[in-house]
Amino acid sequence: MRRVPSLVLTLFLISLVTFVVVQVAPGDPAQLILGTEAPPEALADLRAQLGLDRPLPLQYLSWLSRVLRGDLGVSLRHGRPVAALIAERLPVTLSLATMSLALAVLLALPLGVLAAVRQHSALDYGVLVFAQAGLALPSFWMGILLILLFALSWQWLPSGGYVPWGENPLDALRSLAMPVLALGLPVAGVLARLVRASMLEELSRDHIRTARAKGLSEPQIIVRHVLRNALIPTVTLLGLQLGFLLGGSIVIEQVFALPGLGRLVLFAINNRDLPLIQGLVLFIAALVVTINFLVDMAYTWLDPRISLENNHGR
Amino acid sequence: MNARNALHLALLMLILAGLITACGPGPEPVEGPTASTTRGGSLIVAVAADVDGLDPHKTVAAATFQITRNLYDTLVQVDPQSHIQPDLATSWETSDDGLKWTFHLRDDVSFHNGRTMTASDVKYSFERILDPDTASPRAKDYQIISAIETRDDHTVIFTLSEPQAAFLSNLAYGWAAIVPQEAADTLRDHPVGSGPFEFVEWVPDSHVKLRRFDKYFLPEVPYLDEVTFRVITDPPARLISLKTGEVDVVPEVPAQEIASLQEEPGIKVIQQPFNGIQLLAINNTRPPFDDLRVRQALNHAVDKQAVIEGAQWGTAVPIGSHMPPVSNFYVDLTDRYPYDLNKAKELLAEAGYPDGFETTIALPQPYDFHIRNGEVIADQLAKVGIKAKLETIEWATYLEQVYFGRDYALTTLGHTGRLDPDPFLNRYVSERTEDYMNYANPHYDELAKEGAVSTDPARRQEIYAEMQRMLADDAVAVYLLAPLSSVGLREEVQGWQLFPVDIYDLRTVWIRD
Repeated sequence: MRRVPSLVLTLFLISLVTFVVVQVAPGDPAQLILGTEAPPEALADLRAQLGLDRPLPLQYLSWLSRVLRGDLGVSLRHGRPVAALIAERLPVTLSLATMSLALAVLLALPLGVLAAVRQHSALDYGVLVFAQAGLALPSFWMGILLILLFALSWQWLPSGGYVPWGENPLDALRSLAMPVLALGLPVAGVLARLVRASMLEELSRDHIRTARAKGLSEPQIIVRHVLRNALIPTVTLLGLQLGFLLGGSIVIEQVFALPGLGRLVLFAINNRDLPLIQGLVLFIAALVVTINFLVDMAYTWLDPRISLENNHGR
Repeated sequence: MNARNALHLALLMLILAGLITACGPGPEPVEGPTASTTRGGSLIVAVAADVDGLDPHKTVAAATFQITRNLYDTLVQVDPQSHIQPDLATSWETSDDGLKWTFHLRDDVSFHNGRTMTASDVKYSFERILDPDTASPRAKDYQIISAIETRDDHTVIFTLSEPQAAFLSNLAYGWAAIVPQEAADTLRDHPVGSGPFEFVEWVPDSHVKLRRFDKYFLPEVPYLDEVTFRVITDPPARLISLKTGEVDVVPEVPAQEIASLQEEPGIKVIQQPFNGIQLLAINNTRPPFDDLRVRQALNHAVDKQAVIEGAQWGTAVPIGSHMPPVSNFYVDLTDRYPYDLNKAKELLAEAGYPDGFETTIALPQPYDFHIRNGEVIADQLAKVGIKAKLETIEWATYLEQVYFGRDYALTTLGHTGRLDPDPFLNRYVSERTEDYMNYANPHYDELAKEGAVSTDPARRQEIYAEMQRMLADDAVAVYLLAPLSSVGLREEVQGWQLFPVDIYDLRTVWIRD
């Protein structure tokens, strides 16, 4: 738990950098709200109403003090609390991200393990090609390709839109199937390659040879000795990929018309909706930081020799 | 003929008129409802952007007004031919000095909450727009209203502080909607109007759903039971959803997609000239563009037809000044600067640039059609020695730097037409913030002032013709083209109309069995 202060410091710095970047970037929220024909007096009034006419340090400090009291402020464009907007969109993005991650893991683990065990086989090369393709294909392009196949040619899945889980779980699954594929496949490619590489490295170690010499069966060796160690770098990458998934969801939500956090981020930036940008960045940063923290915790479970409390320099 | 019959006749004429114009350019005419018109059914329209709330007095977002026409009514409305027609007001008269406007209202209008609409609702609605606390972005359009009185429940009188030619047409825009006072505080999320459809739900970034309002004052319309506006921001995804039948209408089909859509079985495309223009704006005070000969050279060097073919896939018509051909005030000036590279080079040499010069064209992201216009033009300008660097600028930044900051040399942009030529052409008046091309011509300013207050239609025609000629003569910009609007529909969708304002009016839409 000694890491908590550094996490809070990280979040503080992120919020400060976001604030400065948005302020430095040109674009006036009042102008965007009132349009190009707005008279200057109306713009000045609105800026005052939105609190945009106050000195910048004061704007930041008042935002910070409200955040510390648990209030993310009110969106300039939506006129509603930022926290409520995030809460509305979160289920979409969270479903998308966790399902994509699950798909990636379910595909990557068996493929990576099989490729390593049967190194230089046709299967191995197949996995490598799949991984390379996953890395190379942009997810939005994959998304459009999937739409052309599954929605237009075969008409199996809706081309876009979102059905809440509470409304109809099957339709929810159908509406998320293509976005999850588009977002999860590239991650699966990256993961499969890593699993394969870590497996190969572990397989060549001395203790494996010892295990084989002891007469342990191959499946026992793979599962108990190789996979467990090979999982450590995989889990690290998984944590990092979550950031990629959240970033990728901005594009994917656009392609598949999903009302998630990614759409909200884009809306906030295009409209220079400062409280919304700040709130979203802080929330997403907190999410990523927390996940990374959990990933670190997972190491200790995978390998008890790693201790978070005593080994900061790791 | 009583008021109701007059209105029915007006609606019928509106529909017939829709039939006639639809025979213009475009592969498929708009069919109006006939004896076989069917009631019922639901329609899904794919829209490119979510609404910015549904309170018509508190936004400038086109995405909102496209939809709110179906929720709210205005005193008067505009038909597809840009003529003002009755809506909540059946008739109106103006005093000789043009200062007093008396509107006679329908007596059979009910709000969605069941209450009958009266003159006091009209008075309230305009007072709300003008109230600084409302912060209505359109308040300045109505600032000349000095008093609003109600003579009785069905008569409302506006007193203006000075005559305004555009006053009547200003009442036809979606932002002049009549709203009930008791619902005013929650209109943003729960709109209540008197329009043909009532509100069901708005799920942000997903959809807006409306259903038929059974007490709408024209009992035979609307035909549809339910309408959903689904937000699909990605253009390819929008078209695919039309092809798969998940949506019935895509109102704004990008030019490059029209050909492929027309080949699709079960889908039709209707087209109509759009009330708007696209241009290459010139910063008239930045050298070398402060020299008229250089601006004229630009005009001779740009091949508008090639821009239309190359950047707009042929779905536009060339223009010669700041006015689209659909306007009743349009003057054809397309022959003022014929495409002539020798003439352009001559003019450049006279101005002291025989070898051309280097400049920059600012391109507004994410408007791909303006970006493409700029790309084609840059290529054309190279032929007379003008090396134009292309600089793509994100919209919010563009507004601050280029449009309001006027820090640019050349830029491609578009302007959506208004119903009256005054708000469209007064952007060139030298003291206005919208004069981003830095045009300054005292004679133009005087004409604009006279046109704004003149109540003589013939004189106004002269004035605005003269103003268009001045813009062309002074080569203030390279006036490129007026685009066509293209709507993609499933074949069974009938009666969709295109308007000179950006609205989707679903009263006349029906679905063929």
